[in-house]
Amino acid sequence: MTFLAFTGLTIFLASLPLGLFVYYKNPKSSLNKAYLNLNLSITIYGISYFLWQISKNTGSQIFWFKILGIGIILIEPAFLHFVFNLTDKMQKKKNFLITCYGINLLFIYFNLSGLFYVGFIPKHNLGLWPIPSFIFSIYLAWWFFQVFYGFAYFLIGLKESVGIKHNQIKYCAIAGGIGFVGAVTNWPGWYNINFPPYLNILIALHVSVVAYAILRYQLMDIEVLIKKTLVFAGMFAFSFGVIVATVLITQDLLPQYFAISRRLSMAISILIIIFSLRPIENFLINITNKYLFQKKYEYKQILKAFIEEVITVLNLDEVVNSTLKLFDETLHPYTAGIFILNKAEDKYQLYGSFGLEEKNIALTSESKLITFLKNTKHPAVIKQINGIVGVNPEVSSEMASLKAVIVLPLTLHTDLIGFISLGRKKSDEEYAKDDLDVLLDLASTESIAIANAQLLTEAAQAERRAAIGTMAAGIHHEIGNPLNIMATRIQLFKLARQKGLFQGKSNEDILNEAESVLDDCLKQSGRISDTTKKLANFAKPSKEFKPELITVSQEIDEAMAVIGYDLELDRIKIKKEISSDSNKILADKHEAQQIFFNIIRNAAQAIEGVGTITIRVFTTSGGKVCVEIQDTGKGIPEDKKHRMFEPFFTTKGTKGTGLGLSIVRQLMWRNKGEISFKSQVGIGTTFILEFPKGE
Amino acid sequence: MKKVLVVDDEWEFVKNFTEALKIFGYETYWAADGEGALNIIENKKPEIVLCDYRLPDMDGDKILEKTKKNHPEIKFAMVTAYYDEVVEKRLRDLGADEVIFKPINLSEIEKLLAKL
Repeated sequence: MTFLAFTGLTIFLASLPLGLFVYYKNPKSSLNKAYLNLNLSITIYGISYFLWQISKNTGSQIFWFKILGIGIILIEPAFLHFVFNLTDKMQKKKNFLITCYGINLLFIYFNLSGLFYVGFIPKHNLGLWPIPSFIFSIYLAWWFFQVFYGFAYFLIGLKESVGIKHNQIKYCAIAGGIGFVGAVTNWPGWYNINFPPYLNILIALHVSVVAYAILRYQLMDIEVLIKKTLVFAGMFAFSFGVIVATVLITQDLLPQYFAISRRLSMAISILIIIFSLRPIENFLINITNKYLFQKKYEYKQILKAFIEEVITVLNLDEVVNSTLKLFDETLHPYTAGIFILNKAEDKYQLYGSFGLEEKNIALTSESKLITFLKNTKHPAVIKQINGIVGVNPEVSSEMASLKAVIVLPLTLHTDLIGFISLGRKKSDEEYAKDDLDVLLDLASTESIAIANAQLLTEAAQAERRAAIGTMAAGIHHEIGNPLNIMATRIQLFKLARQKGLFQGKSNEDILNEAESVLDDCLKQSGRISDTTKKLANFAKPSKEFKPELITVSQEIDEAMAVIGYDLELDRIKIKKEISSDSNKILADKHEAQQIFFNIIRNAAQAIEGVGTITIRVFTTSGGKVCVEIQDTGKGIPEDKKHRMFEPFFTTKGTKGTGLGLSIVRQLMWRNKGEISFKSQVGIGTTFILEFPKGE
Repeated sequence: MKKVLVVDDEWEFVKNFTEALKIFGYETYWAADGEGALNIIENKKPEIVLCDYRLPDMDGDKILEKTKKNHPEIKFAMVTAYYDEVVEKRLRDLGADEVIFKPINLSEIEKLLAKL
């Protein structure tokens, strides 16, 4: 079989099944019908090309060549038919198309009657070729006219279309170009110009790309089919190449070095093929996946995994950057931006991005896009996606200025706290409904992650302020009382002297009395100084996360020192049960104190009136350091238990910010700990904090 | 001699304060918590109560309420370390005749007690 025969066979093998496949996927679609029509003409072309090339006698060669001619002639009106369908010009071009078919029928007659040909001559290795008549040259001009006419309509269609349609036309035009380049290489042979039409094979590529363009946005299985076709074609080409190369080297180019028979060289090439076919297949599957199909399902898995992870990130920069990195690696958009509400200025400011040159972008609350997001709580998409209507031109022009085709709102409760903008994909694929489903999941988690990260910073300060507030009353007590004692003591001494109470007393006695006043004052000033030290320690600004080996019982004491004033005055008894084994853990000292402070304060607040807080520190059977903080408070109702760790959830009414426990849990996770609780209404609650042992 | 009840859990303070009150010419009683204070009010009927706001078993406003309810004739002065206009207004609304902020000034106390 010659290579030309092979091209004919390949064209036939590609065009017939693809034509039928596309047709049966949607038999009612006129576009799919037109594609089948085009493919059937190409099928005639391909099979007769193959048979023309492999025929041994002149009679059958001429017969198949004339059938081939029918294929050539039919392809053009079928191509126009397809183009008009694709570009929605069928109504307008109906008469033109009928005329075309008519003219081409006439040419089919000329072809079959022999008026196209003056004669036939054999060419070395290329089979029997025609000598064209003048009528044929007229047809050739007509052929080119039809081709260019079709492409002119591709261009018109490209100009008029957007979105999926635009891309379909683009792919079909490119594919058409490829196909016709392949076809054109046949013409020089007719006019006795020696130019082997090997590029004829491109016609097979043409039908594949067009099928892909028609179906890629609607069907997943076409991808599988095309993938298999490509892999098969690649393996076929490889095997073919190995045989040709082996035979060429051993028989024709260097026969003097390889004194082996043709049969043996065939055997060698088959061995090479057997051993290398599997790696080649894997290689081809990989590159088609990588460059054509982007492994859709896998990227969704990655997004889902990310959603679970991002919620535990506590740093805003880290949340934003890891999200952008994820977009870049999975969706491959040209641009992506994360905008976050600046409450002070009531503006949505770009916090992080890629692909956007302008970094200082901010949208006001009155902007059309923000209004849209606030009102609808839906993603804004420029072009319609299955079930989601595209936005109006005012909104879309704002999106265009952000180079975005999709904008996902970041909402928390009912507030718009920011949004994510995504540009076109580098693959030119449209965002599909299932993309959007995953992205919406991501956006809602991202909202919580951003709010948490923002609030952690604020909350760390707010918690500290609240703690100081908690202490304020106690501090008045702890500082005010010693001051009061000192003041009273001094005043009493003066009063006694003023009232003459020292009269008749010896100097020694008066000095002793004065010294006792000073001792009392010294003692009270020590008390005040202790208080201020503790306060200063707690109010220290937060530092970077820095795990170190710390002793849990000591950190609890530190936290208790701060909270102590409140507890003591609230008449709560503290029981400590610290087991004698080591309770060292690897954690951030400051964060550990925050954790204990919050849980103990919660316990204290849960107790109305008199009660007890029991703090136990021990090693679990699993070798972890466990801290149990048990209160005799009111307990947590069953229906609220599952919500305890939600951000903004509070059982304390207006008193709580609701951030305490959600933050505590995040701090626990950051320090590799786990937090849980058990509770019974009326009996109390026990929080269980478990850390890995630090040694 | 007028009877003054001092309610405070800080012995160091009470010791000095009651001594000063004696110098001013009052008969003094001392309670370290709310329950003790209510007991003394019932049994000794002091003319004046000087009560610290924060006590181990209850807040001063509870003692104030009970005292004014059962014995409106008793003059009641609340002593607090926590300076706050809102607190002062609330205490006066509850019936406190005076609100004294710590640290106290003995000569002011003398004038104030004479006035009550």
